Amino acid sequence: MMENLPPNDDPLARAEEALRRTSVPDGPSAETVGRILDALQKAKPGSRILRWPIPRTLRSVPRLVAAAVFVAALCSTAIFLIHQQALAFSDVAQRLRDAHRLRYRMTITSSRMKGAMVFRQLFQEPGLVRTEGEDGHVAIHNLRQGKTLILQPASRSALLLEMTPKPDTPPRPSADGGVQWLEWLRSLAEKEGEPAGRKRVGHAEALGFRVHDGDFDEMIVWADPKTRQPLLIEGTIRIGDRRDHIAISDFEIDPALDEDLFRLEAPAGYTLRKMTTELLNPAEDVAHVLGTYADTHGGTFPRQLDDLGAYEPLFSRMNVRGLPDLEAIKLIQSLARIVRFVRDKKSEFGYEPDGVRRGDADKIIFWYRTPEADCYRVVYGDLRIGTVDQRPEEP
Amino acid sequence: MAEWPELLQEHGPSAWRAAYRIVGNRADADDCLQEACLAAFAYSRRNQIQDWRGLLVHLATARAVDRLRSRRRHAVGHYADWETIPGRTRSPSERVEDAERADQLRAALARLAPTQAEVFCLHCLEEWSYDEIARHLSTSTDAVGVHLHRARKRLRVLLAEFLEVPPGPHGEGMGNSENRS
Repeated sequence: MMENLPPNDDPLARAEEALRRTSVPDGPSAETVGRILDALQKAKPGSRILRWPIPRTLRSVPRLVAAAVFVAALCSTAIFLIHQQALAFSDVAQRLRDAHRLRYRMTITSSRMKGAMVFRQLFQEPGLVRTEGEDGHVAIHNLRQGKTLILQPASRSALLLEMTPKPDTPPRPSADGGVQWLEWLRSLAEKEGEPAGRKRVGHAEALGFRVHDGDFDEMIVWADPKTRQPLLIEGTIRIGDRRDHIAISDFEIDPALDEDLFRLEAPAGYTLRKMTTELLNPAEDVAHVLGTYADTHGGTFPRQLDDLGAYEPLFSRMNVRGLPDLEAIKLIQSLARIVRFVRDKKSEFGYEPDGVRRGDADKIIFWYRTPEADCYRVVYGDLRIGTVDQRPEEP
Repeated sequence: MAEWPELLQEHGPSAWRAAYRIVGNRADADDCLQEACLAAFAYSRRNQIQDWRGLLVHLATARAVDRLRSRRRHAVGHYADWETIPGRTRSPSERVEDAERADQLRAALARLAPTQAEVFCLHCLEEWSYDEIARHLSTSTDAVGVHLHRARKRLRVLLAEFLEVPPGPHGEGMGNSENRS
């Protein structure tokens, strides 16, 4: 093969060589192999028939003893199956959906982060959410009022953000990550869960339900069959170029919560700043983010719309130490809405930055079908927003 | 009926590594291997399999190419594990350049016709011969050669676009869209 390769000044030969040189792990993990074997087992016809091989040691004991052992094993299995059937996934998910108050702990780990990100979240009807970070920062949302109070005890500073919807933009849920998680938890009741075995979670022998959810590559809800309460939800989620492992635990359903926890007032001694931001539509968010990116990247655009890593340099010139400034807040909000949009819309939009530079007024870089009308909203290379009747063609 | 635990133990790593090199991360490689195994299982119910390793590597490669194309269609960023950072013996700047080149090649592969991309990966990354590829793709060695030639031609143009330099002596011009998928 090597003799067919062009000389080293050929970009293709160098790229091939680079890809071949890429370090590749030895193989799949044992967990992956187990998952694949499970999938193959399900694919086999008649896979529901369980075989009960009698161990060699049992073959040497009298048939009566062997039968007794076998029956005992069957009985314990039957008890397990009864328990499993007695706990339906819907029982667990509906408890989360119907909770008036909720408290849980969330742990996020990622290969791109040092250590884990841990926070506690509290929810109370109607529309009050409090997120407490391990570093002491607190975010309190009043979803009905569209207000968020961020507290930073270390600097004794507070920021009150008010989101004003535009007249032509339908109200949308908050793009804040913490609020999204809460919405997601409550939406589990609309999904189905299939049995995923059992494992010990704390002091309980939990039953698992695998839930197929577009946001997650893999997600299992572990619940206590006695209390029907969720004990642990764990899964892997992809956000842009990141793959994060999520664990939600320490659930408390309808605990007593002090109303002061959700008060949108800075504690005494805190310096309070107030900011107002507009709720943009997806095209406006994309134009805003792409414009900020192009300003610092010679007029070019990121290769992927939701590649959060590509946007990291943008924040280096902004004030994101302590409480962020308005420019950074707006960018964070637009990015959060874009990530959500990409996840929700999947193939209902297009982003084609190849060969487009800032100022290319005749090239469409982003489009999506508007929910309210049979047309497409587009963003051109000069970041102008327009509307077209036909779906733009992908190159 | 094939014994899948043994098959996976023996041939799974080769197929997984073939997919990993193309997609660049564990999660996608896991998915590619699972899809390849399910496809191989379905195939094995209708056909006698002589070369399980080849079948799994071929199917995993095809799924990996699909995944690259899907990423591009949906404009979704891809995630590369830190494990993919090439060659520890090379200098940091060389490693960064290698990683960029590998990413550019992945992006360019996503824009090839699927068969061309598969043939390219099997020949250039897995070092399969024309005969092996022809056998697994149920085609002729001549056709494999044509696919490979077209793949290289198109890849050079695409890489030149990424680098924003003229295609040079090995490319055939920026305007060529013969093999656009």
